[in-house]
Amino acid sequence: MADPSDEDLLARVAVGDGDAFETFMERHLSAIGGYARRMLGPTAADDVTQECFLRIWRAAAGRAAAAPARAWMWRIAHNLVMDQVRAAKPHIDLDSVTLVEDRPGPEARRQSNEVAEVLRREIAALPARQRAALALVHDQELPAAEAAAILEVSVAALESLLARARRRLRVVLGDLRKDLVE
Amino acid sequence: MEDQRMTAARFTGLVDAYGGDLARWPADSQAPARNFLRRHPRYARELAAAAELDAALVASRPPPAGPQLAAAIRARRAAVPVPPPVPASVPVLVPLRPSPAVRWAAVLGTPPWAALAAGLVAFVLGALVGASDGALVSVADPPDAATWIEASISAAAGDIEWEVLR
Repeated sequence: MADPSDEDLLARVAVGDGDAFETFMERHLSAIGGYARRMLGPTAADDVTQECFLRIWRAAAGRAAAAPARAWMWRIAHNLVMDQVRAAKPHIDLDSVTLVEDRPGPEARRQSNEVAEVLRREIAALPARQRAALALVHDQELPAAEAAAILEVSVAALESLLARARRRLRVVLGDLRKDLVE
Repeated sequence: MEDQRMTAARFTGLVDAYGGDLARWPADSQAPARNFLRRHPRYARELAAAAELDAALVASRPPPAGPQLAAAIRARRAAVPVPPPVPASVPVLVPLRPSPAVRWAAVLGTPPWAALAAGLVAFVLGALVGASDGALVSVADPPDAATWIEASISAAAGDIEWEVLR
């Protein structure tokens, strides 16, 4: 038997079907959790992910039937994430952001996992909209049109956000590679 | 034809945005990009450079949440009451007795069918208003089924009295 669609699952969640909620959560937890972690760091992300799924449980009954299930879920997740970004703006990311001067020295960066860690921190330091675009398109591999809809921008604006983020990261990556060679 | 739509600037812009794997580009750009590459093979270098960042991005993805996150959601969900069911269709309504409009029509000599038609129109409009209130409600505040029915009834109740069958 074919797996139930997201629409079917949410229709069942809307009438209080806990099994349908469980299936829906298992299907999407990794994506929503990954997006939140990229945007917020692990601690805040887990809180937001929990809240996102609870919101889905509570609000499924009020979802407009015409709203595609996945887009509806992503809008809830993105709104919660951005609320957190805005609320925590003065201090968010300070744990995860490393200023250029604070980067580990070349020797410490020889391990590829450390390169990844530096990149992770650089991504955390990007403006939130660039980071969100990167997380949706490159981490979660959403189609451009879907990511643009979640961010409420045009596809052209999404491409601009992605290009600015990637250009910045290419510079960082280039510097890291040079340091590793020296 | 497709090549004409893919300029060098557009190709570079797409590499900048989507990276070095053409399969990850928007579907309608992939064939034009392949044709462009066949005609301008030097641009393959841009794809290779972007692929290096793609790989680094994959390596930098945050570690997935552990099973404890799913367990925490389950525990919190169990503490949340089951959401109220929303009626799948307009509730079944049965008139209890002739509405005041019908009774007044009898007194004043207006044909009863005219009063009934007016009452029906008012009910349909009221039900539509109630239904659209439900559809537009914020996801943060799911509609309560009783409220939905109440709104539908109150909108129509000016002309006719109804009993909700649940």
